[in-house]
Order: sequence, then C-alpha cells, then structure tokens
Amino acid sequence: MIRVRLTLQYPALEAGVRALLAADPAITVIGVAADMQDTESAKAADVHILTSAAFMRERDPGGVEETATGTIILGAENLDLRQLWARHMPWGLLPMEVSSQELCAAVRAVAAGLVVGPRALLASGDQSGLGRGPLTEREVEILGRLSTGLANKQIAALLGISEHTVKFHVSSIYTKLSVGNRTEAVREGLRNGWITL
Amino acid sequence: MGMLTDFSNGLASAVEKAGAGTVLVDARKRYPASGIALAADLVLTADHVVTRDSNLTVRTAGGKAFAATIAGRDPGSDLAVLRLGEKALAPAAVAGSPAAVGQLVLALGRPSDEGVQASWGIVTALSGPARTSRGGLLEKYLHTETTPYPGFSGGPLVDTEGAVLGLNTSGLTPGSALTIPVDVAWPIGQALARDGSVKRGYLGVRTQPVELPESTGASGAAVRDRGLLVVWLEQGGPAASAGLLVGDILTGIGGRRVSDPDDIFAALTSATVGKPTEVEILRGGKGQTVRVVVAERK
Repeated sequence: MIRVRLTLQYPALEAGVRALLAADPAITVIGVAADMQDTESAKAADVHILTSAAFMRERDPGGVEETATGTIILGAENLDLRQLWARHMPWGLLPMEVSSQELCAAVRAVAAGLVVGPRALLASGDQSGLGRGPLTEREVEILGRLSTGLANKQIAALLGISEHTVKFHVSSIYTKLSVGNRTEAVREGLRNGWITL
Repeated sequence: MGMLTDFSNGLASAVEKAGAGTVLVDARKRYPASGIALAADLVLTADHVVTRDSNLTVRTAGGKAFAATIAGRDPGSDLAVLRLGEKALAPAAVAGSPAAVGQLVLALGRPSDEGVQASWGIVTALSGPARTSRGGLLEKYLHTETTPYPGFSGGPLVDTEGAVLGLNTSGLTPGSALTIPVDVAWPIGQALARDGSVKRGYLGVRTQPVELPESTGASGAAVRDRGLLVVWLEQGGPAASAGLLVGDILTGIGGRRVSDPDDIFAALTSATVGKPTEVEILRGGKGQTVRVVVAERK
C-alpha cells in the first residue's frame, strides 16, 4: 500500500487528483492539507503530491524542515531542477495535463525512490545545471556572445530579442558572477567552463 | 642643413606620404573619424566609429567625397571595412617588419577637411592576447606614447618612412587608445572585405584550466604545465564527433599550446574553419592526438 498526501490549493484540483489515483488500487490518499506542516499524515505519507506554488511556499525560510519523503510536483514547468536535486529525496515533476496512468506510475516510481518526469521537462537544461553554474541557459548563450565582443544591440539582433532584454540578462550575469564589466564576466565564464568554445 | 632639420623634414615627409592613404570616415553623429585605404575601393576603420548603417561618406586627402557602404564589421576586434562605389584610393603602404618597442612612430588622423593631423612618440609595449572592454579577444596590440586626438580612431600608426604599422583605436579600452598591428588587422580586414564577417572556429567544448602533474622539460628541470579539462561536450559537435570525451585534457590545438581558454579562442582562427585540425589531449595520463574538423562558431 502506498500512502499519498495531497497539498493542492483548490478542492476541484484535489478531487481531480483523487479521481486519477483511484485507478490504482495500491494507492491510498491518507490526508489533505493546506500546506506541508508537520501533521500525523505528513509523517505517515510515502509520497506528497503538491502544486508548484505550494512547493515554493514550503521552501521559504522558516518552513518545514527538509524531509526525505518523495514529492511529486504538479504544473512545475518553470521550476529550477537544481532545487530538487539539492533536496536528496525522490521526486517527480508532472504537467497539469497528466493522465491517470502517468500519475499512478509516477507515484509508484517515487515511492520506490526514483526520480520521474516527462522527457521534455527533464531534458530541458542539462539536468543538474552542470556546465553553466548559477546561470540560466539564456544567460550562458549571451555570455558566449559577449566573449566574441558583440555589443548588446548586436546580440539582440542575433537572438531576435530586444536590446532592453539583453541588458537585463547582462546585468543578471554581472550580479550572479559578482563582476562589474564584460571583460570580467567573460573571464569568469571561461575559467568556470560555461562558455562553449 | 642641420641634423635636427633633416629629422624634422623626415617626419613631415612621412606624414605627407602616409596622409595620402589616411581618409576621413563620416559614419557617426558628432565629429567624423579616420580610416586607412586598404585597397583602391576599400577603407579599413574602427568598428565603433561606424554607428550608421547608411549615408556613409569617405573623404580623401584631396577633399573628394565618396559614398560608401559597410562591407563587413568585426566588433570583437573593433574593425570595419567600408566599400566605395569606385576605385579611387591609393592603398596605404604597409611596413615590411612589425613594430618594435622603442621605435619612433606617428599616429595620423583625418577627422576634418582641414587636412591630416599627426602626433608622435615611441612604441612603449607590445602586448596580448587580452580581453578587451568589449569582451572580445585581441591577439596582439601595441601601446604607444602618441596622443589619440578626437577622431584619430581608425587612422594609421606609421613609421618614420610613412609605412603603416597598425590601426589606432580608442574603442577597446575605455579612456585610452591602442594600436592593432598590421599582422592582426589586415587579415581581419581582408576577411571582412571578402566575407562580410570574420569566421571563428568552434569545437563544441566547455573546459576548465587544470594543473598537470610535474614533468621533465627539455632543459631537464621540472615543469608544471596547465591544460584544459573538458567538462562538457556538445552532442554531435565537432569535438564529440571526433571522439573526444569528458575528462580529456586539451594541451594543444593546431600545433599551439593551450593552457587557458583564451588560447582556444586564439588557436581557432578563421583559417581552421572546416578543416581537420590536430588536437593534442591527455587521456589517462597519456598523450594522444585527435583530428577534429573545426566548425564555424555561430
């Protein structure tokens, strides 16, 4: 028997997930909660199912202490996977349009200590962010352009985005790498192996 | 005549000679800048002084104005080539040997129709490769004691015979100027005239510098070298296709030693694009050579 606990904000969503899980007789929903606070059912559960909003809230400082209980997050297309790898727990990422069969399979997999998710979600980016440090894929792309000496305007034209957006990314790169100019940013990127040569 | 007068006349004639190949480039707001006649219809100038895409004008020593278009630009090295509608220029003479530290040089510019302008000094240093304030890599450059007056960017640095040693620009280092030597600037200028851009090689690797175990150098002394550890390979990229593996350590490309990622940049010149290039690696502590067909960096 796999015990599942739900932390979904909306009654309709909760009812829907219950219905999807009903297809697998080995899965029982043992509790529902507004958040992942440390209650009886939280301790007893094998797998938590929650929305990405609930997961983000739970990560806030002062929240629950980290648990090794497997967690399945729904609707988490924009979640940074490194946060999940850092938690040392089995996890799953599923889109909101998940089918009953997929959800039940994911619950079984996470209960068995595995990591699951649709191919497109896990293959986007390179798993643990290895090879790009704290930078996003777009920032790495822009850092690569900086290394050839292009100006913001030229990078914008090449990538088909506005100059303002390029400026935004460049300043985010500066902040993340604690540097003050392009030369240092490129040097830092090369030293760490984030720029593809 | 005295020696001092001869010397002075020598400088004046050098300016007169080189001034013929120094043109005015009107391609930005505010005041114009300078350019060098690369061929009868081509002008090499600094990329940063070309801020307009159209309505560009080149004016010669005789005051004749020619409409020009952009043949190509390379912001990384701050070079651009303009093309004239007719073959009207006398190409500048290039010095037979590269500049030497201590050599007496003149920096010329033609930022106004009043005539050529000049300043003089010695070559104080030869440097490079270095990352410029634009982020690009400049393989070699010269520092001089000449004064970079407004509008001198794109103009030539010449020797006392009036032969060109390089192109002056203040666009690569904020608040100061440097000179891109002929052996760097001319091949880029020719590539820009031919292709509109400078091709750069691409391996599809991400690397980190690592220290190699001590080995014995040719002199018998222990040397500690650095190499570049491959930490990521682009799937199906040039390096991966040639059989390189994550964990290999790059030590040389095309016969050049590589110990810093900038060395890879410098080694992957436009000449390597599309060609099999020998890449030296250390795998399991043993040296190997792998032939990689270098792709073009997009």
